[in-house]
Amino acid sequence: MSKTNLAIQKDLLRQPSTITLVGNPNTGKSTIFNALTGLRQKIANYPGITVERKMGSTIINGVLHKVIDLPGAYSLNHKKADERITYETLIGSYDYEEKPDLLLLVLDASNLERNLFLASQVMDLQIPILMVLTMSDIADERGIIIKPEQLSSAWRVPVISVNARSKNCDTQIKEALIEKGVAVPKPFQWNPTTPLRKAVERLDKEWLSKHTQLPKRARPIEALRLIAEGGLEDSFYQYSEGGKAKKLIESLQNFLEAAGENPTAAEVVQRYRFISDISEGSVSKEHSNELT
Amino acid sequence: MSLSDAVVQQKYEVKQIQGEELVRIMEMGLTPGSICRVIRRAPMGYPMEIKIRGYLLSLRKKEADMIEVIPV
Ligand SMILES: Nc1nc2c(ncn2[C@@H]2O[C@H](COP(=O)(O)OP(=O)(O)O)[C@@H](O)[C@H]2O)c(=O)[nH]1
Ligand SMILES: [Mg+2]
Repeated sequence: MSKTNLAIQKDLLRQPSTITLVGNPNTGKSTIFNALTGLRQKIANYPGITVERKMGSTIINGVLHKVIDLPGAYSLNHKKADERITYETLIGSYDYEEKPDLLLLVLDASNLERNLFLASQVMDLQIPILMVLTMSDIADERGIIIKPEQLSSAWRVPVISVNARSKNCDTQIKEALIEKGVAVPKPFQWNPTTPLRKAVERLDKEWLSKHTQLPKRARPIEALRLIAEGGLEDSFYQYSEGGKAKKLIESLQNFLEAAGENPTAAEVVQRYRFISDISEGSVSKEHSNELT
Repeated sequence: MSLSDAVVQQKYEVKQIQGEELVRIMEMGLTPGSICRVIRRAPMGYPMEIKIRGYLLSLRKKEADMIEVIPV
């Protein structure tokens, strides 16, 4: 996996774009949002719920861009109101929020493995990404050594490491957007097993693509969620032909079980397996006594 | 054994998770095969704080009960 595999885009920011911040809670998204937008920001609530909606603007190379600070989330599978907003905004189906043209995927460098779980899901959505590692100062203090280049070649997106509270954080991010650019990662970089891949493809082809309005790039994530949880009824879409879907999902779950996989656990286990594997190459620790 | 019966400082390997919110628990990093360590427990036992995948996670009794572990 060499750098040449990165599908880098650098001309995106020549036109006004929507730059969206996404990541786990408490990773520094709002700190970066404030640094980028300064006084150019507007805070309101999303309609009907008390979740803050933060939008602002920033100038990069003379072009004015929108910046959106999404509610923090641990997973795209969740059904809490604020996590739904994040998910629906990312897939471009939330009426009250701008579709992202590119993402600042924010990760806490001192807690990388857990942060990579959501990140790996977001990277399946085929949106141009710059990965921003925050808390680099805390990682340093704890003796956690991150190798951004390794992370970048493992996930095929450009990566920068910042202290979001430092004065020049906005400049660092803007420069990275210009010089490193953004890249669209290939979906399923986390190497799902063949049976899981097949189950996702079948649910997409035989049902999601026919009976839902979901954009193509969001269907694999939705398929994974349905296979794990079967939760058609608590899904936030109005599914037609739910009965047919239910049967199909059950048969796919049986298919996975016959292949020796636990349908409920498969996605999470396989994502974390890949994350641990790549973390061995990209994260190390000075004080080994602190591990686990 | 259940993680509810785990003792402070001991390391455990997660064997399996059972119950309603098992996906949410696994998403926190507690997947089968992962290793955690109990860091501290409140006087009545809960919340209990464990270290998993390099970070501290606080669990309620309801959650700890769902997690089957073996000492390592
Ligand atoms: N030391 C340090 N603290 C940070 C950094 N980024 C954010 N913080 C702090 O972490 C906390 C959470 O940051 P915030 O931007 O609100 O996170 P959000 O929930 O992702 O929006 C705040 O107290 C920030 O000041 C960083 O790079 N280094
Ligand atoms: Mg915030």
